[in-house]
Amino acid sequence: MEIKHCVNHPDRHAIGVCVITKKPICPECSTKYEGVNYSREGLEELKRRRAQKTRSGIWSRAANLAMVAQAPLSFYLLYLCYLYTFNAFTGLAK
Amino acid sequence: MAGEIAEVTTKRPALRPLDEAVEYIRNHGAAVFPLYVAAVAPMTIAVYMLLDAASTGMYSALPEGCLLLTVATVWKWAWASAIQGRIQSALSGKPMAPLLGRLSYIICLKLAASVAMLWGSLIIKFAASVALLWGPFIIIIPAIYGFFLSGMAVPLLLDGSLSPLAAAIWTVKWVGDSISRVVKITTAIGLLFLVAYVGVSLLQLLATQMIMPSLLGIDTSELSLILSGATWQMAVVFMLFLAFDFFWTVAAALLYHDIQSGRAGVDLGLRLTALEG
Repeated sequence: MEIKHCVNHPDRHAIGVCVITKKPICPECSTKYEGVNYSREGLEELKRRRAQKTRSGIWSRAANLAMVAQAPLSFYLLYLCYLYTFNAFTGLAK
Repeated sequence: MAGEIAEVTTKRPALRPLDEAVEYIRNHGAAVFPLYVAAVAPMTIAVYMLLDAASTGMYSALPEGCLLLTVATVWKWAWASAIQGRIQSALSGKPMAPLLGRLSYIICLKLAASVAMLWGSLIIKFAASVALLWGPFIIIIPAIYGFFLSGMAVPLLLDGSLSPLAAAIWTVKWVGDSISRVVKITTAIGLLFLVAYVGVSLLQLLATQMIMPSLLGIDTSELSLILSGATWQMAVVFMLFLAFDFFWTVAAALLYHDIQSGRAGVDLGLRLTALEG
């Protein structure tokens, strides 16, 4: 079996691979978070991804809220569209 | 996504989903038509009441009638969603996604799409000169976007976890990327509607001017007067609208599946054939 060496310390044996960067890391470079090994770059990337997910989650919720909020106005506008169409029709029918 | 959509649209016949819709209605019409009848029954009653009020001069009943029509429209969307959900489930081979949970979003999206389709009446009412000058741009273009958004809202929201806004953006992008296909589909449906209207009018004319008086000896002068009136013409247009709306309900679900299956490399025709088998 091939023994891998730490990407930051080539003289040290790697104890695992960062789940994000997939690079071998030694105990000093490894941080165990939620039971998983991360390198420093991996942790930064995880932080960035989570922040992005939170931001997109907030935007998604705001977008859904905006879509629901426009519904009463659209309902009223649709009612007006029908009313003006039938008003125009009564003009034709007269 | 835009690139994928463009690739799909250049490879697939633009009007194929319309042909497939005719086939689908021929083979499965009996299963989906009762749902559509339940969908449009209140709308038909509301339109009948409105036409009656307009033709008998009861103009004060128009606001209540239009409110009823708006509520009946929302009712129609809820039932038509079940039709599209059923078609999508049959085509994808997956159980139908829970409709009730997404229904509020579907209705919100369809409300926005319908306003885009019908806002021409508001423009004509409040800014007739603007409508005359810019009519094609400010009335027809939003109407086309609304037409496709309204048709594909259900498949979009039932397929995956798209938010309503993301579904609207997807449709706007798709229409922009598939102009040629959009123009072909809208022109085909528009022309079919026109041909159907002219055909019905000619048939009426033939029946009241030739067949009934000459062959059956019936006096049709009063009937001719009714048939040439605006109320009857509006009723004919509404009945044709129902027929085309049913067709578009099925066709839009097939169009969405055609776009998706093109991307996934699955043939819609083969899937439909498998369903028949």
